[in-house]
Amino acid sequence: MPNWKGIVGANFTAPEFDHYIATVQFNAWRPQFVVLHNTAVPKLSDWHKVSGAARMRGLADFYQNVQKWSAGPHLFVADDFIWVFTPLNVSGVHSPSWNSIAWGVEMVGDYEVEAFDPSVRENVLSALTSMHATLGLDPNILRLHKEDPKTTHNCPGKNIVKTEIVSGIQERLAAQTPGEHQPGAGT
Amino acid sequence: MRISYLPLLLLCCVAILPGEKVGGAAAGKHRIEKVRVDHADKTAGPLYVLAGGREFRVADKALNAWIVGGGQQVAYSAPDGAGGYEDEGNALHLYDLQSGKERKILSEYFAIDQVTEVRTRNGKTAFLVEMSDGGLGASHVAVVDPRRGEVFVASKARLQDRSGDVLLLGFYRDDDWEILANGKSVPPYKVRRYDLKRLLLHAPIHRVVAP
Repeated sequence: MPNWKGIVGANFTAPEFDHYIATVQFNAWRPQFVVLHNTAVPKLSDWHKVSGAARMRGLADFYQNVQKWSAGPHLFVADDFIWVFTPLNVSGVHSPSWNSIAWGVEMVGDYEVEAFDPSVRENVLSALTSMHATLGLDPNILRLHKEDPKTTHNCPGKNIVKTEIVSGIQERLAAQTPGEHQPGAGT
Repeated sequence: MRISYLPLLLLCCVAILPGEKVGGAAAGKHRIEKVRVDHADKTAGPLYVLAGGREFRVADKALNAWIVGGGQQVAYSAPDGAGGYEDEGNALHLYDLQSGKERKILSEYFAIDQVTEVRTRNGKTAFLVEMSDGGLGASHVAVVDPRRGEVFVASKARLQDRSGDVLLLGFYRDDDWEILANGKSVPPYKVRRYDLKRLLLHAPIHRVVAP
C-alpha cells in the first residue's frame, strides 16, 4: 500500500488563499500546469448537507482506505470556500497521464447537469489566478480532466467551457500586473 | 357470437413498434445478432439489441454491451455503479432475451472497459471484467459468476494472460500507472496465477457506495 501523503484540510476565502499559497515552498515538487475537474458527486446542491470539514475527512478516507491511493486532488472549490486537500507542494492523484506534473483542482458540482454556479466560478477563477501567478504558469496550458486520453468519464461536464476559464484567468492576471504605461497617466 | 379482433390488432401494433422495450418468449426464439448503444462521448445512452431481424430497446442507460450466453443474453455496463472517484463507478447488468428480464451482477468503483465470457473446464460460466479508474489510471480485474454476481476483484492489476481456467494477473506500483498511461512499458512487480474454478467458489462481493 502506498504511503499516504496527508491532507491540509483547511478552508480559505479567495483573498486568504492568495496569501496562503504565497507561503508554500515549492522545493521538492513543482507542477507544470493545472487539470480542472468537477466532483460529480457530491453535486453542489448536496455539498452543504455535510460540513466542509466532514467532507474532507470522508474524501481522505475514501482515497486512502478504499482506493488505496497515496493522495487525492489538491483543491476542492465550493461556493463559499477554497479547500486545500493534498498539500500544494506534493504530487496528487487525479488524472492518469499527468499526476506527476499537474495540480488537480476539483470544482464542487456536477456540471453535466448543474449550471456553473457563479460563486463557484468566482472562487475557481480566483484560486486558479493565484496558482498561475505564484508559479508563473501559462493559463493556455490548463487542461480539463476529459482531455486526458486515459480518463474514464466526461469531467468536467458540458457546462464548463475551457476558453471561458482560460480567458477569465488571463483577465485577472492582467489586472494584477498592469502595463507600465496606463492610459492617461502623467497628463 | 361476436368475436372482437381489437385486442389482437392492438397486440400486433405493439409488437412492431420500432425501438420498443420488449422481450420474453417471442424474442427468445431468436439469438442476439448485434448490440448498439446510442450515445455520444462517455455518457450513457439507450441500448438496443438486434434479434430475429428486429431491434429491441432493452435499457435506457448503457455505456457498452457484449453478447454472451450463446446469443441469448447481453451483458452491459451502465453508470449506476458504487460511486467511486468523481462518480465514475459502473455497474454490469445481464439482460436475458428469453425472459426479457435484467439483473445487476456487479457494482463497482471503476469504469468497465471489457467483458469476456469464459467457460471453465467443469462447465461453469465466468465473466472476466477489466476495469480502470480515471484518477490513478490503474486497471482492475473482476470475476463475475453470472448467477451470483461479483466474486473476485484484484485492484491495481492487469490481465496478462489466460490459458484455460488459469488467469495471470500482473500487479503494478502506483507510479507505474502514469508511465503506462504515457505509452511506455513497465514490468509488473508481481505476477499471480488464479484458477477461475476456485474463484467462482468465492462469496459474492457487495460494494458500499462511496465516497
